[in-house]
Formats: sequence, C-alpha cells, structure tokens
Amino acid sequence: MSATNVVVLDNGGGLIKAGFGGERDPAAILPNCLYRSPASKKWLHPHPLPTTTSTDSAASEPDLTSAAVRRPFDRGYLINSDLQREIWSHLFSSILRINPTQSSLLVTEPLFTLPSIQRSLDELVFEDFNFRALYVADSPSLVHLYEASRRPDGLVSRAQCSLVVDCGFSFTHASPVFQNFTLNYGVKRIDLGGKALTNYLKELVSFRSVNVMEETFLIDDVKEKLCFVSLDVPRDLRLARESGRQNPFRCTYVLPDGITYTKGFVKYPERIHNYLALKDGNGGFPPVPEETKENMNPLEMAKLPQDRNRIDLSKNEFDLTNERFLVPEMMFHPANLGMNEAGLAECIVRAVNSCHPHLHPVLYESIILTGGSTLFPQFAERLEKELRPLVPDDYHVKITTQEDPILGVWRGGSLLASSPDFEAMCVTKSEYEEHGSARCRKRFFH
Amino acid sequence: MFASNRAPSSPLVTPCPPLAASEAPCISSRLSALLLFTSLFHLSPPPPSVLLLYFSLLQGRSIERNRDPFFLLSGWKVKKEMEDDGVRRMSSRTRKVASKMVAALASTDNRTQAAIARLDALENDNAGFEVADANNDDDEASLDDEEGYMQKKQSKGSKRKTRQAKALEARKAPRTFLELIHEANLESLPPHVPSYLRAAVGPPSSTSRRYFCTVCGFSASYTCVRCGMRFCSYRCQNVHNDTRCLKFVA
Repeated sequence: MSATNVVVLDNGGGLIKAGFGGERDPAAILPNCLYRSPASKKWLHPHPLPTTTSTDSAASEPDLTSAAVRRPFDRGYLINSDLQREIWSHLFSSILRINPTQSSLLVTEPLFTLPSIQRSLDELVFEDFNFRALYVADSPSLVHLYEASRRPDGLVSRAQCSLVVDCGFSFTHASPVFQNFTLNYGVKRIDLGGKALTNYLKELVSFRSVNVMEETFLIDDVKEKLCFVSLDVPRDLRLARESGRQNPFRCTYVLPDGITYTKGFVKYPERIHNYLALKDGNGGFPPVPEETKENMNPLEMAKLPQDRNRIDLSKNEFDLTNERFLVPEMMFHPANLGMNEAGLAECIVRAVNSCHPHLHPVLYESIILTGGSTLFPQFAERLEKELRPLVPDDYHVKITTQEDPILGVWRGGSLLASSPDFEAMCVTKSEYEEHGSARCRKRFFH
Repeated sequence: MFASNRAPSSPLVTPCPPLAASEAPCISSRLSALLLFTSLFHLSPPPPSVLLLYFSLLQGRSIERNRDPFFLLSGWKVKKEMEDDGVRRMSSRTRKVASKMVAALASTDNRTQAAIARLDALENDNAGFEVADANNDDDEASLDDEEGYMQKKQSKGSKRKTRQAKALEARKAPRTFLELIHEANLESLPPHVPSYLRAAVGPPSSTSRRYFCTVCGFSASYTCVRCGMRFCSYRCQNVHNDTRCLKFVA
C-alpha cells in the first residue's frame, strides 16, 4: 500500500477535513452537518469550503439563511453514527471519489471517548464502509508531530514534549504531549468552543438589535470577520461607549435579503481594523483614510446614502461595538457568563501542574495554539499577558501559533500516514473481525 | 408539563432526606419514598405482596446502596428525566418550544433557573426550537375542507400510530451525550484512571467576576430584584423590565 491510499480524515465537531496521506493540504473541508432551508423539507449536504487551491465563485453557494442544522456530534463526541454515515458516504463518493475497500483510514477522535462511541466508530468504518485498515489518532499528538517536523532543531523536537492548546468547535483542551504520546492524566478541558461563542453572539445580537437566533452560518461569518480579543477590557469598554468617529470599534453588518445578495457582509470593511491602532496604548487612533471610490466594491457604491453613518433599518443591518471583544472574552473568563469553569490561562496552568515537575519549564516554553477558535486577532498576545502572572518567574513562557490552525491536525495526520511504519500500526479488517473492537483499540494506547 | 402534574419539585432535588436520617429503617418513610419513585417512572404502584417482599429485602441493605435509585434524582439527571417526559408528551409537529423552559423548571429559584437556562442554551444547535423529523411532516400537510373527514380519520389513526411510532422513535433516536456519560458510569473507575469527568478543568481559583449589563453590554452595577439580571443604568432597567424580565421562566 502506498501512501496515497491512506485517507486522512480529521473528524471534527464543526468541520471535517479530508484528504489523502502525504499531501500538504486536505482535498476537502466540509462542515460536519446536514442543513435544511426553512422552505424545503429535505436535509442537504453543505458545500465544501473553498480551499486555497480552488477558485470557487460565490455564485454556487446555497442560501444558508435560517437553515436548521443537524449534527452527528454532540458536545464534541460522535453520537449519531447514522448521520455520520450519510455525511461520510457523500464525502467519499462525490467529493473525494475513492473506493473505501481499497484504502486505509486514519481518523481522529477526541480524547476520553467512551467505549460505546469507539465501538460505533469501528463498526462504521469496518462494517459499513469496509475499509482495509484503520488507525485512530488523537489530535494533540498529531499537532505535536507536525510542529516537531517543521522545526527539527527547535525546542519542541529536541525535548519531544509540548503543550497543545486546541480551541475547537465543541470544547477546548490543554494537553501535554511527551514523546508523541498524549499524557492523559494531564489533559484539562473547558466546555467552551466555537459553537458556544457563536451562540453567545447570537444571543447578544438578538437581544440588542435583530433577531438572529436561527442564523447559525450567518453569525459564524460575523464572528469570524468582526470579533477580536481585547488586550485591556476596561479601557475598551470605556472607549466603546463613545459615539460616532471616536468609537474605534463600531462596525455595521448587513444581513442578506435574498434578492440582491444572499450572503451578509460588513458595511465598511476598511473600518474593521481600526482597533489595532490602540495597541500602543495612547487611546487615540489614526485618521480613517478617505474612502475613495476605488476602495469600495460596486455593491457598496450602489447604495451609498447621504449620511452614511446612520443605520438604515430598512436594510436589516446591525451594529456591533462591545460584542466584538466581549464574545472571545468568554474563553478567558467563563465566570463572566456565570459558568463555573476556569479560564484558558488557568486551564493551561492546571494541565502543566499535573505533570512531573521536571517537565514544567519545557512545557511552558513550548505551548502550541491550534484550532479554529484561536484565529481571533490578538489571541496569542492576550493569552501570554494572562498567563505570565500565573507562571513562576524563572520559567520562560513562549506561545507558538500554527500557520493554519484549522488544518494543523490534518497535516499531522498526513505526515503520520506517509511515515514508513504506518501500516504496521494500523488495525486491519481481518484483525477487527477476529478480535473485536475492544482488543483492537488497545493497540492505540488511548 | 411534568412539574405541574406530579409532586412538587423540591423533593426531587434534595437527596432523599427520609432515607438518610433513618438508622433503623422506618417502613412508612420507605413506603412513601418507594411510591414516589414508582410514580416518577410511571410504574404502577406494586401490589402488597411485592411490597412486603421488597421491604424484607431492604432490611439487609446499607444506607449507601439504598441511595442508589435516588441518585438519579439529583442534579442534572432531574432535568434529563423531565426533558424526557416533556419530549414524550409533546406532539411531533414542529413547534417553537423554548427548550430553555424545560431545564429551567428544575430548580425553584427564579434566578438560578434563568442562569441555568441561559447556559444550556449555549450548547444547542438549533436555537431553541425542536426540529421534527421529515417523515412526520405529512401530519400537518392536509389543509382542505373536503379532507376534513379524512383528517379526522387520520387523526384517530395517527394518534394510535404516533404512540407506537413514538415508542419506536424513542428507542432508536440517538441518545444524547449526557445519557451516554451517565451510562458509562465513570465515577466507578479507580481514581488514577483519567476519564472525561476528571479532565474537566474545574471551578476558577478566584470567585471574583465581572458583571455585564444584559441590555447594552457595558459594566453593570445593579441587579434586577425579580430575576437577577444585571443592568447598568435606569434606561437599561426600563428596557429590561419591558422586554425580558422573567421572559423564559414560567
């Protein structure tokens, strides 16, 4: 079996990243759900996200407003294997176009998966799709592998140890990894992820302006475009109260009306990054460059009103000021919401403290951030600012971000699949049929 | 809803004081507890012979094991049970049910109810309305008058069908993760084995927290006396009272 016959599947709660082993990028990134427009009765498969190599035009995108969503994952674990089977069969037949009976599969699973769920995954792979062989990996060890191989003389690969902070869709884990094994006893989990952030933003926007409680995909888009992490919350709250030009945060988002445009967009995209000027602490911000005609796209030019700072309610827009940084703030202080869980900085400290004391300095110096929810601007700086007071003085704190946090786990899996001794590590179908799921699982050590 | 038909909710939440207090088992308290237990799970009260047998068996048990059936009554499991009952009694038509309400009824305190409801709402996929299955959609399809007779017949037949179909559906519907966790019985593992529950990060080290006004989002100093939500100024308090004070609490 050559490396191209291995299908690498990063089965996440929000997005599935699928591709072939040995390649640099996955062939398809697909939302792991079925959606249904309120007009129709059928549950449809969403289109894969446009990858960097394809130049998909927006015209083929379906209308996703008010779509109801069914996910096979609940709180991060696969509970609905029927739904997952449908999604996978669509993925394998139409998007990847492979024949499962001739390929082996590398699939990722979250940590601490219950045995019943593991069993249902094994059944799905071997009995429904008839793959030839299976290897189940967990995300932190794959991330560690990828980062260690990227910098062969860095600390991560010399010490063979790192702390992987994975802020995903359903939850956030801080997992210490040593010699490519995740140290199970040291993993700490916060039950907040991209889904909770989106739901919180939906709640805030619905209370204050337009009711968007059913618009999951739309608010996902708002969150990704407009939210950022604030470095100094009291100062930013004070600034956000200002009106008009003095307010560096206010941004307007226009909802789609289904006729002229089906996707929402930010009204004045050049204002999104105004807050970055606050970094040097002077509280002011540079004058906004004059909006010339060339900077705006034709859509905006067509509807430019006289007084452009007024919200036009007939167009279904809403303003965001303090929500932009209060939503990611949840990850650092869940207690502000009323949740009885510690924030991200404390989670890291607790994860490190549950390991052997000799590992502490190495772990603090090799923190790797991965997962889609770390893509908020200024995330790493804020985390370092919060973490530094909690760490003893003589330890060095260094946080590395991956170049693509969403694909980080997949790339690690692709690397593992192309290693020469991969086939020896897999469980083949005949072994599964002979020994059953539980004994075969013991080979994977987690 | 469940809470209105059955015993008041407070005995469900407090962990079995009648059993804990008794060193020498008191038959009457056990009897009342047993009847409460059977009524919760919709079993008919057992005939007297079975009752006698049950109590003779009970004599030998320790207090710890007696607590077992009532373990289910504590904490989130109550919510789960009530959610199950709520789902079983609701029709299968698409209805915008505030699923927050079901969870919120578990505790008697308004403020905790509202807080719990808000936190649970962060985990749902579909923003608080139940999504009916595609194959049940034809129940609501018939609108014509000439099919009035057919509809009556259909409703009679479909009532029978839905009770059976509901039992089938409840069996093959995917179980939620909370049910699976409970079944896996992770507390019985020895303490050195890491598990899902032990991996949780736990409460924060300092109980100080910031409060934000629920209306405008800025720093809040005042609390609503009825529901416990925070607000920052008089104007925000007016908005809160008009629109959302106790909105999703019965």
